[in-house]
Amino acid sequence: MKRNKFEKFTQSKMFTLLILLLIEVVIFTVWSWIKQGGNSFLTLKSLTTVVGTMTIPGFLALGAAFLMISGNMDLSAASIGAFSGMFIAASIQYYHFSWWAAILTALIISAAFGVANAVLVNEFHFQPFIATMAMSTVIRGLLSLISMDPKAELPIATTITLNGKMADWFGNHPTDQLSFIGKYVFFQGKAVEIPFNIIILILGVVLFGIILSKTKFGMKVYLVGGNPFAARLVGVNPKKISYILFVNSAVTGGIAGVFFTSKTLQGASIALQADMFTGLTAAMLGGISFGGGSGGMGGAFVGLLITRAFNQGMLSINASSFATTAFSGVLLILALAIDFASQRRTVARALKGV
Amino acid sequence: MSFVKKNFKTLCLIVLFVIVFAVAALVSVKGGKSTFLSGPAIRSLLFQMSAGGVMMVGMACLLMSGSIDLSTDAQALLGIVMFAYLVQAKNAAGGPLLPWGVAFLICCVLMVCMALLHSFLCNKLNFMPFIATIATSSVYSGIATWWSNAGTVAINRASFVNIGKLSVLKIGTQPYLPVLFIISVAVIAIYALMLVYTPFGRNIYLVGGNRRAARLAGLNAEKISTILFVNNSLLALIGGLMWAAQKKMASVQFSTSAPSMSGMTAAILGGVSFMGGGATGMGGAFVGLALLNTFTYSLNYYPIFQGQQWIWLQQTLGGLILVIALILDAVTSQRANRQLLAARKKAIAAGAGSRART
Repeated sequence: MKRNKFEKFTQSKMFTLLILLLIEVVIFTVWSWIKQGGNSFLTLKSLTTVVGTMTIPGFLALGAAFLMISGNMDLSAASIGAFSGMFIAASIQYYHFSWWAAILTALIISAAFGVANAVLVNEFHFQPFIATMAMSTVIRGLLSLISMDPKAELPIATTITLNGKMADWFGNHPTDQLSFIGKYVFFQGKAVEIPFNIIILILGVVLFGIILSKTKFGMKVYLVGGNPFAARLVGVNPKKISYILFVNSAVTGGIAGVFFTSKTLQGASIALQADMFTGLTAAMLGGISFGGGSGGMGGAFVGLLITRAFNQGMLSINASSFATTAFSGVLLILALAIDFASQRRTVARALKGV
Repeated sequence: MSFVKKNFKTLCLIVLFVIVFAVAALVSVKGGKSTFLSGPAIRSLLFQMSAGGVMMVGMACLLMSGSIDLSTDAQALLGIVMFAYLVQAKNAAGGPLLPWGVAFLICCVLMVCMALLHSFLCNKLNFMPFIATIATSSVYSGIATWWSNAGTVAINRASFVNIGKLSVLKIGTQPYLPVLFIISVAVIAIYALMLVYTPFGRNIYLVGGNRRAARLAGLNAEKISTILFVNNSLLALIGGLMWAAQKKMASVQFSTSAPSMSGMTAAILGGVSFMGGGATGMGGAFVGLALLNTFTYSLNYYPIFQGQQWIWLQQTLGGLILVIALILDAVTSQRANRQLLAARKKAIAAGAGSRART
């Protein structure tokens, strides 16, 4: 029985991903050793850096994974994140919001965008790809609207930088809390530094993972993704689930924006511009297929870890950013090819068994 | 009547286009003359449409076959960067090394290689086209950015750049119809005819509608998919070169305007379905392209948008017009569905009646 379990694990997608991660770590360790004359990749410090950059794409991936399992997708999550980040900066800078009020309002607006996406997809039967892409354009436009300083002559601001002197209605400094969220590190200066925002991400991944694999709701999500007609016949309301998941994706996008602003203490109109497909890619790398109905949270997390470790590895060998872009594409293709090979092996084995 | 019913959506788009055009012409009147209806303004609008139009054709064909290529912009960028270097290369005597036609052919070989890679990934390894082309897209744009040092490569071969300048037909003293736009329209027309009147064109729809059924009917879906990938890459190169001829350079700026994304949007707006099949051909896609481009371009001519504080509204409206057009589509297709249902109910009732009589 135990051995059976082990065999099952070695044939799983997770196993492939972990092997890939291991290969990656070995390659970069050796490479950076040769290039720098010493190990500069496999250190606790760079591990902390890898983990530290995971928060924003991590939250984007959480929302995207759920939607994709249910057979939908949301390309506007990154724009919603940029909007919520800009909203927090603008509301603190121009209207003296408290930190909690700014974050809360930003997330509520994000949820409203999610509802708009869901309405377009469910009520007007738009293809999710095109509906969310259109919404993303609309949201970027609204982002420039809220970035404008109401008192200034030339109101366009592409970035709003928060300074520590800004006081809210109650005379507190909202940037204190924001920089805690974005920058605080437990065990500062010790061997293992743990950024506060990573704890939140890990809590999020665990929570979402449990919801997906252990609750009734999670099962419904798989069911809707696998076969929406069958789901309706057994009494699941696909529309309701779709609404919940679109709102969920928008809110996790909004949370990514919160982290962007609290890490940089800036609202930027170009924030998360390159992240339109980040969440989707991480989820796919983790084995969540496009048609819906399969995959899990753990795989998506490891998939994300692979791409982030790769970026850090390229940094540790002083590669140019163009090379990083180019080879991250190669990495993705490689991951897909390994998956293809392992699937074929599984099928071949199953056929032999018959 | 049946013509109107059949093409209801396209007609709606045309009406919308006429409204957008007329409003732009009217609001831009300054001192008794419309600045929007002048030669240079129209010409630069048509210039904008020409590169997007050619790239749209390749994308629309892929979409109809149920596939997609998100790396089109990156491919075109890599193609024009290579073209620029080839054209600018000097021989020992200091003259140009290659005629630009030869440079074009060499670039075509590169495009075909990229397309064959996509075909291999999607058909042999069964990757989803969406994810495979996102992956290759970052490979190509990484290479192109590195190759051009993240900057621009100027092209000053007169015989090539002049094609970008050529225009015919005049409004007042200014010619307004660019030759590039004529080429673009010709390409669209050829593909429209091909889709409707040749067996290959109809096979594309068939593969897109139901790949398995197409295979059972004896079609080689892989072959069709490969041809369409190659076709898309070559058209992407041509679209990219149109852009390069106008701007006299190859630059990473090309992909920031994402012409293939807007081409894809136009095609979908015109009724090409994202999941393959789809009833409308190139005509609807062309109207969608004209509508989208005219709308975003005309916003520059509205006096109230001249102030910098209205940039947000321009961006927002660009997305909103798409949403509005899609809602229109949803409403019309729901109406069509209702009519179909009603007709079927009637037929069933009639059938039941006749059975009762016998």
